[in-house]
Amino acid sequence: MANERIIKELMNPNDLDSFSSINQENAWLNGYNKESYLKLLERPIPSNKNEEWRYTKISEAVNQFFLKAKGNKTLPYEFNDDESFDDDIRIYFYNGTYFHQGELPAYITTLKISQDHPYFESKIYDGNKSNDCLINALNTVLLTDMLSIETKSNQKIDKMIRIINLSHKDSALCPRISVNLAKNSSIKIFEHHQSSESSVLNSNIDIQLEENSTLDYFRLIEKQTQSHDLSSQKINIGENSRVNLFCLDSGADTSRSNIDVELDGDNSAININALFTPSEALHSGNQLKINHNAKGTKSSLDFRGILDDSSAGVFFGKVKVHKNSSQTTANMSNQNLLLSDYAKISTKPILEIYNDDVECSHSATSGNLDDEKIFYIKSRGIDEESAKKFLVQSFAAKIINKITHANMRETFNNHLLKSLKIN
Amino acid sequence: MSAKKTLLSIENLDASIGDKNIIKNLNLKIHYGETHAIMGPNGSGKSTLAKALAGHPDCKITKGTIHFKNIDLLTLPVEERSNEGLFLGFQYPIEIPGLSNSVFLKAAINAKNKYQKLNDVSATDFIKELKQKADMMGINQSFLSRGVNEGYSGGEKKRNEILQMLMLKPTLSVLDETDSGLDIDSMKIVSKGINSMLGEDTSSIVITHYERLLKYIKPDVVHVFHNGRIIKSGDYMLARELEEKGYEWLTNE
Amino acid sequence: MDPDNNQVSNPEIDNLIEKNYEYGFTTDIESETIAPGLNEDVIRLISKKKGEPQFLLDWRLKAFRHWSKLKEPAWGQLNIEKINYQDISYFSAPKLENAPKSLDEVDPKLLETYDKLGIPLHERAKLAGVAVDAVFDSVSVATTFKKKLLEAGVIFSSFSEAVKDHPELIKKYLGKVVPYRDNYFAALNAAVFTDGSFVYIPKGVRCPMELSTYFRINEANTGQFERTLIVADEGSHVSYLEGCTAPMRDENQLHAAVVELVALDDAEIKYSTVQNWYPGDEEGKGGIYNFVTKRGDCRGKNSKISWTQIETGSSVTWKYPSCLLRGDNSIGEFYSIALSNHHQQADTGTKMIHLGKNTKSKIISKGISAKKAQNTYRGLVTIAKNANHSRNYTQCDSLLIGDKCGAHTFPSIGVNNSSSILEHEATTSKISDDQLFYCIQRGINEEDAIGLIISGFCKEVLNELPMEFAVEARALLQVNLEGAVG
Repeated sequence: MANERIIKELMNPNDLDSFSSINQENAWLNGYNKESYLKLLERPIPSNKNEEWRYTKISEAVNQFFLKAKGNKTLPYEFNDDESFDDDIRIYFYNGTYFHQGELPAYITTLKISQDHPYFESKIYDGNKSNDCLINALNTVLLTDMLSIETKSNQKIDKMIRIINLSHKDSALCPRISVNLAKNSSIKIFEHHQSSESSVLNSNIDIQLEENSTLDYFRLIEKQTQSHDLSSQKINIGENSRVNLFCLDSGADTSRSNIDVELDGDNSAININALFTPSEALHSGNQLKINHNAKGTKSSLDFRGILDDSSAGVFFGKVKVHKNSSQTTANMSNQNLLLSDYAKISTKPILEIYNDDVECSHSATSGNLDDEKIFYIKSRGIDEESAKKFLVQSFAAKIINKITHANMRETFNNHLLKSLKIN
Repeated sequence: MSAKKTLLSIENLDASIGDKNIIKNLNLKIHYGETHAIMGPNGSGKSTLAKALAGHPDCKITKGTIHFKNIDLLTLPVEERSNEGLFLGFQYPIEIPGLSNSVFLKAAINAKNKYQKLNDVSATDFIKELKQKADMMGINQSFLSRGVNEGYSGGEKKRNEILQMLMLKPTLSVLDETDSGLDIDSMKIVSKGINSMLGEDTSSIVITHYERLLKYIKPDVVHVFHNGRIIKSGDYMLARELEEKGYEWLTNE
Repeated sequence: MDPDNNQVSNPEIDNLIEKNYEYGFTTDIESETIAPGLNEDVIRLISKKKGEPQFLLDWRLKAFRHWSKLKEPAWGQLNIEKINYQDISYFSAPKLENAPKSLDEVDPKLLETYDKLGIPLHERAKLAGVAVDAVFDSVSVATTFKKKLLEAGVIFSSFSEAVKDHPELIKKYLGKVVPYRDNYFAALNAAVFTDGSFVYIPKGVRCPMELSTYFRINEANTGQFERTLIVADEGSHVSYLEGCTAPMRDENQLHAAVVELVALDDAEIKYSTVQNWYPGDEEGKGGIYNFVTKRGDCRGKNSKISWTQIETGSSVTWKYPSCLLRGDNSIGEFYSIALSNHHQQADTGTKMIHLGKNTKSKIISKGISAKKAQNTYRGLVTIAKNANHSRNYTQCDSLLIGDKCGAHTFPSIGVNNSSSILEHEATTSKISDDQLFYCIQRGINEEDAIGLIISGFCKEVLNELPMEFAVEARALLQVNLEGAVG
């Protein structure tokens, strides 16, 4: 693209040394930071001519990322995590480090505590190779610690693994997680980006499922003020395995999530149910690429946007059914409520199908609350404001009610109401 | 019989939808304790009257007055008309997926209590009453936690309207073609519900095409609507006559 | 008349051929082909030969200079062999010399198709490009036709005639809806277009008949770079049919046409197309590249533009008839059937740009792919900030027949105000085995059964076609599906 700027125009090669949060102790890790940085300098910053970045202005996020990287400071621990469910495993990412209270179970390790550098190095190497995107490259530059969750065959873990990302003011944070599920195993992960101010969070997760395994994955991104939240999720699903992903994104100056799913094994499935609820002048961008690479695979995407004030929402979904993936089912839906005349939505639900043995559908809607419904509720004695709140909630309930995990349903519902300013 | 008190008084009413004047100089008085049936062919303005009473935003009153309990109804917003005790049973009840019946009904009852400066209904009392009335209307308990009218059949929707009426205990119920699309069993259940509400202090307007509902709910007065006004009033026998002869003998006059 | 016995020596026919030159130029046919290649001199020559006014030449040259700077677009879903633009001859009069002299010389497969479509004998020759007969039969039609239109005040002529007779209208509207800067092929067309149709419906006039290129005798072989301009003045109404239901013989590989529609206050234009150019053989050899830019400007209040298209031909189709909804309360519609078989590639769809208040658009797209064909719907719906209370409804369905074909949908939707309502639905599936079995059990053979199911699948679009056209279109779908099974 002719008019795309190269990152080099923003940064100079020597700036890397000033990225204070980089762990200088680990020479090999520092090598990855450096390599990624030097490669990044040659990368263009995607402009709005680039189809995938058309409605997400990434240049400011990239700019802020480097600015904050230079000024990253280590701060004393100072946070509150008010939702406690005693059974959960809790891991925090703060100041560029994963930490936790008490002992971690054997299936979770962090790079910081592990003695096995080659093991982590191979994960970083493989992750970078399979996910060569801008978000991943940025993540690698500031990579200091990594979390690895790896089940054994037949291991079913009922406890929720809560990973809480805590950004502090003027910080750039790059959490990175690797998840591997062996045969017949199952886990639940809850990734929580707490609300923050003036920060850049760039999170990467690499997920692989072998046969017959199940991952329930919850992502909650609270409202970020004067901040940018970039994330990349790479998910490979093996035979008869399934991932259920729930997201709630309340928006940031730039909130952008790239979800790439490879349905590699026969009868593998992905279910994504998501709400995005930006308000004020915030943005929420959702990019999904689902590849059906095997027989009997299923994908179901249900995204609902509730957009208030002058916020902007983006949905870009591309479902591709490859030649040999017969008996595929793919459903993609993006419905949007525009609560203000200044809110905007852009949606692209794309289907690319190279096989005839498919049942695929996609739909998209946009509109405000239905006047007839408002009248019906008011005719039962309820005032207009409450009627509207009921309708907004009922719109979101379609997603919330799909969460079968009771604690999570409650958590998501509470955050939803908070985000919508409904008490 | 003592002098009857007036509940609803409509005088010289003109009402339009869009640019079209539908109700033309309508006069109607309903006393406490009375059931009035309004019959008439399609497009005669029956449903517009229901909309005018409930305050539907599409329906514009261009002339005349409506007094309900001696209050100028036209000055009240939709929800306050309801809180004053006016209930509209919708011809096409609205589906609100994701908003559960019980949450919705409780909010409505509490809104009315608040309007009347009463306390919120207790959760246990509410559930108890709701279950009892749902039983009466033949509505399965599992429906109560489902979305309002979500995926209901036509008959279920109408029974749900009557359930809402029973819970809200209005002074005046306006039932807009509640009988349409009902099979004979539902018809019996619906009329049982309506009859259980009737008493000295409540009134109802039953809008219908057919006489069959009126067999179960004996109206005190039957009005025939045509071109936005009442062209004939009578007792139940008028409904019987209409069933036999159709409307033409009246409308062709 | 028996078309098999056509002789070129018929005096009436000679007359007609003469008539063809009347609007062109008077030199000998053979010398009328400019040597292949494209440069400013070629454009000056085209313009001179057509006796065009200076403004048109200037416009052509500007378009050419712009085009020279552009890169040929590369689209994701299309697989196209490189086109050498310097190998094309940009001006050529009807190639009567090479045309078959009688139906005996015409490809028997083509004749078989006509038979199945039930095309009347006297029309077959024209369609197959036999130089004479068909026009002969159409003369009387054309004449009565023209007289009737003249009485109504409707202008319906070739583009070249219009440039001579109504330069002020051409100057006012040409390139206003599709500027030459619009895209690569629009720029190329603007530089080198040779002819096309012009329609003007005066204020308050309801065009007394369906206008059709089919009856315009001088339309034959207007060539690769056709340009159509239709202007419906305030309160007028016109229905325009383009193409015909039988495959047309055509020697040109590349077709890059431009169609511009303008509807002023309260005007309505209905534009229907049946496109059945040569799709190439079963191996995908040959066939037409059909790169068309079609756009309608609902400029006036309460105006309406409706596109209906049945796309069954060409090896590659690239076409997005669009509506610019500028006037308040204006309406845009797009009804499309795109059927691709064997190695055909169809990339088609629409753009609906809502700018005026209370504007409405409706998109119904049905794509069918069979064998190794690829079918893509590409659509854009934008509702601008100030286009309050606008509505869009889109439904695009794809049907797949066989496991080597592809169906793709690329909708792009942008809504910038809260009072507008947008709904988009799309499905992709294979032809239902249950439906097929049901039909076959009732004694219908598989091929016919597929035909029946497809015409059911396409019903909403077929219903938009004028009656007699719809019947032919149904037959056409059936014929084009031949060999799709098994």
